[in-house]
Amino acid sequence: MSQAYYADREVGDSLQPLELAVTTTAVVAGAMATRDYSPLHHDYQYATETAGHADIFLNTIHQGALFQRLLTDNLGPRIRLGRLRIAMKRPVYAGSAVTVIGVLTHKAIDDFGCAWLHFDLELLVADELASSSAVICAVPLDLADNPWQRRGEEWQP
Amino acid sequence: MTASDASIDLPEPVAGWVGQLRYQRQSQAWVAATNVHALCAAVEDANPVWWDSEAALELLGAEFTPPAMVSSWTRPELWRPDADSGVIPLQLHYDLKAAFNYPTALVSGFESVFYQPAVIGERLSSSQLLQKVSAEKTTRLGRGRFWVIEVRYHNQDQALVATEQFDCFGYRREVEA
Repeated sequence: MSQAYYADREVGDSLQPLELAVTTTAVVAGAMATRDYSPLHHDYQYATETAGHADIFLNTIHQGALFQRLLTDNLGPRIRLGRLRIAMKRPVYAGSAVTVIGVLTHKAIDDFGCAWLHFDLELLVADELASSSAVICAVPLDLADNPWQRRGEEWQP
Repeated sequence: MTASDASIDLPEPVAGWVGQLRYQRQSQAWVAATNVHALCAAVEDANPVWWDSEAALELLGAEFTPPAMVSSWTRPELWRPDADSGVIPLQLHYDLKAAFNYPTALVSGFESVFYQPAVIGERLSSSQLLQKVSAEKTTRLGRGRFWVIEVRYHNQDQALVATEQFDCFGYRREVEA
């Protein structure tokens, strides 16, 4: 997993898409990993008969993990999330094949030397939008810069 | 939709909850690597900083955790021998669902802002703030209300770890009305 630096990316760049099969086991595993015991994420009968869904579906943190993976797969292990917004248009049900895509919409270096990249991301199921995300993350300016060590006024997401 | 919108006549106790910081409590759980590994496995994320403590120390400087997992660290156990069930995450969400007698309530979107990252072995605290509640509306899911809840997370040194703002919808399917 190689590390990208601020100068390596330009506005308009697309990320290499992520494709993944969302199994029933993965839906439940993600919910348990995040200590989310809502029956919407593990109880088929509740999800379908009580809540009116087609199946159990990914919880929000699980979707955030997919967006995070897209970013680190493309930009490297040292990027640091500053702000993450997810708008869920439709549930991502067990059995779905998902594609996660993204494009760089803005880049800037703030007054404290922190290098920020803004992305619009989308989670697609069968080419239909399931969730969209707006992410702001910090990337290293160079080998010596570590966004994870920024504190206080040096970190303003 | 604003909390001060005079056209929205909220019933008690909901009206009294708006703008009040509630459910301030330290978590029963510790920030744990096993949960990080399990979530990364669910999404097949090979980033070494989430799997290998030495890689985390070398590349990041500490065993930080994925920022978006923050709410995982303050959720209660399903059961405890001391019968302390803790505070359910988004308890306000379920309070509103019950107060309005909606069979179902879901989160339609959220925004997180991440500050000091959580480290393996820490213990976080959280609090919840109801920002606003809408009038009743009809959507394709059913008839119900939208509400917005902010959750604030701090570490044991009282440093702000993150805030999360949840957009929620509680509803009753039309066939059940």
